[in-house]
Amino acid sequence: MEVNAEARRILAVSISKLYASRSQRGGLRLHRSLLVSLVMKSARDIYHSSAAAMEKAAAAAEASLVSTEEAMEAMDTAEQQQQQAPENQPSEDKENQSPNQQRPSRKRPGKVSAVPDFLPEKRARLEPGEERHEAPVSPNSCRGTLTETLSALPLNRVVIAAF
Amino acid sequence: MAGVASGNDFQWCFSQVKGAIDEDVAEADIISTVEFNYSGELLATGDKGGRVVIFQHEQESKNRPHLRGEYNVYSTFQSHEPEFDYLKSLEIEEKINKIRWLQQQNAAHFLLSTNDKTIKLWKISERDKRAEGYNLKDEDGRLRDPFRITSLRVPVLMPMDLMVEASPRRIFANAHTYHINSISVNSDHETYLSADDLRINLWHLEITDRSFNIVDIKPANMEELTEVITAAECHPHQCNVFVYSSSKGTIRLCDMRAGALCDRHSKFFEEPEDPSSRSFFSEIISSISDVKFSHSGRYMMTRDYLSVKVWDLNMENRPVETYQVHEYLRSKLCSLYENDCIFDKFECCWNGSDSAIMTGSYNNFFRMFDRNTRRDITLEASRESSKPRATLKPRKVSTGGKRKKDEISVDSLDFNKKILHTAWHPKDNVIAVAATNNLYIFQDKIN
Repeated sequence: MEVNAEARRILAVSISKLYASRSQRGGLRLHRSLLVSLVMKSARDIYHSSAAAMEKAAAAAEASLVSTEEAMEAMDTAEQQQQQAPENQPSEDKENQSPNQQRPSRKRPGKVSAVPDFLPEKRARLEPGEERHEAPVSPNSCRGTLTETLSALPLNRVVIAAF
Repeated sequence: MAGVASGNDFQWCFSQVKGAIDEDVAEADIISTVEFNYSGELLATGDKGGRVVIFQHEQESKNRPHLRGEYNVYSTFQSHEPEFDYLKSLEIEEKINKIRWLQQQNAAHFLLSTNDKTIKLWKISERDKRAEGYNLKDEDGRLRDPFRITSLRVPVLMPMDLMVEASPRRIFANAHTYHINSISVNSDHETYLSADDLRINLWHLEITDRSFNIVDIKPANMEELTEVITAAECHPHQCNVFVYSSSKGTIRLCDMRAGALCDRHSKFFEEPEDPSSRSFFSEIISSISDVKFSHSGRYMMTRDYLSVKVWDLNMENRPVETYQVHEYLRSKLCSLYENDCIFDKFECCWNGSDSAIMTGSYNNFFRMFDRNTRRDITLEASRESSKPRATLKPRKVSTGGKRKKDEISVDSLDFNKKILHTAWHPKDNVIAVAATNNLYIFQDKIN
């Protein structure tokens, strides 16, 4: 968890550095931007791998929850759906991600299409747990939103945009 | 002079400090490069404001023979001005990135100075005589009519106060898309190379309208970019050989005889990474900020964020010597990333006999390593220890829990006081250390 939090913090710091470097006198420094993007990539990889570990832990917790509450019929159907969702999540990831991922983004490179949720956001946010997607997602992980956000951030594009 | 004695057998004494004492440092006054010429007689500095200041070594005075001569201002000129690239809407900084002297071939001195985009060749010449006795003009300065001039008078050269003139003789522009980080004069005295993030160009000193591109590491798709060129230097004796370092911690040695384009290296120097020290910032701290050949041409030295490495050109798989500059910073990399210090580009230099090396650190500390005895010393460039001929006291950073007297703890280091640029006299034990806007000159105490 600590690694996770540190990775998020480094990601936030890196993004703000990249933004700040655009207004720097003398123009974007390629070397520095490359180094910052490499740090972001490391942090993102670590963030993903620790989030995947969390996913597995969540799946294990779900499985045990299902077995103990199997007797309660009112919850039965919902639990089964929730049990399936985390298992399917990795393979259906692509489907659950923003449809923008399927086709090339028509936005100009360099513009971040989604603001990561660890930076202050000005527009209205959904409460954690709410989902834009119709497919049910485990309430334990709001990772779905974050994953799509981080993956939607093409690091090299952000760096190279000015050149 | 810089013979067998080790770096620690020296007794470094304060000699001079140049620059304002003001607490508020103007950004334009920050020194960005320091370079002795081949004889050591001249010392040039460049600053962020685009100015070059040249100091000249005055001969020892007969009255005070125990003092080596001092360096006094010889010439000051504005080398580069801020420019604007209208096509890209970018301002081009006037900061002088590097100065390199040419070998002296006549009475005048020549140096190359560069900012991010343009290299200039400057001629620095002395004028101490003036021709007098012309009879071609009236007293009020108007030209006389030729028929009124009845005698032929040859002007006589009369002494005048010494005037040092700096004039730009060549301007090498428009050859670099990216920011120039290095220039290096070749040993053939005719060519020099300039390197930016992705390309290296070879110039002829007489020709400004074209240059040869000899290295190009720009990928076809910029999104595949993984490394950039960080420094480049010509071999001191073999005019066909040069090296360039990368942001991945590798050095490539190229031979221009192999082909017009030196994209394929002749030698590839890389030390395998220690997997136990891997962190978020491994790539940043392995990026090489400076590469320098030894005077002998047998070795080269590289500086990365935490260490200095000496490489034998005959061995590519690991350096022959590694010196830790400030290993205590390894646990602070996250904070150094946040405050941008991790991107600082420290330079390094050899002494005249290649027996010692020097590089800078934070808190105005600089470090010297003796290659023979393997001893190292940390010294500080500060106003407090700037009494004439005062011997510099070795400094120590305490890394353990208990801080001894006179030691300074890592958390007390001032990371705004960084020594990025140092230079060692090519023959004598005189060093120039740039601390922000001040230039310190230290000398070995004459025994």
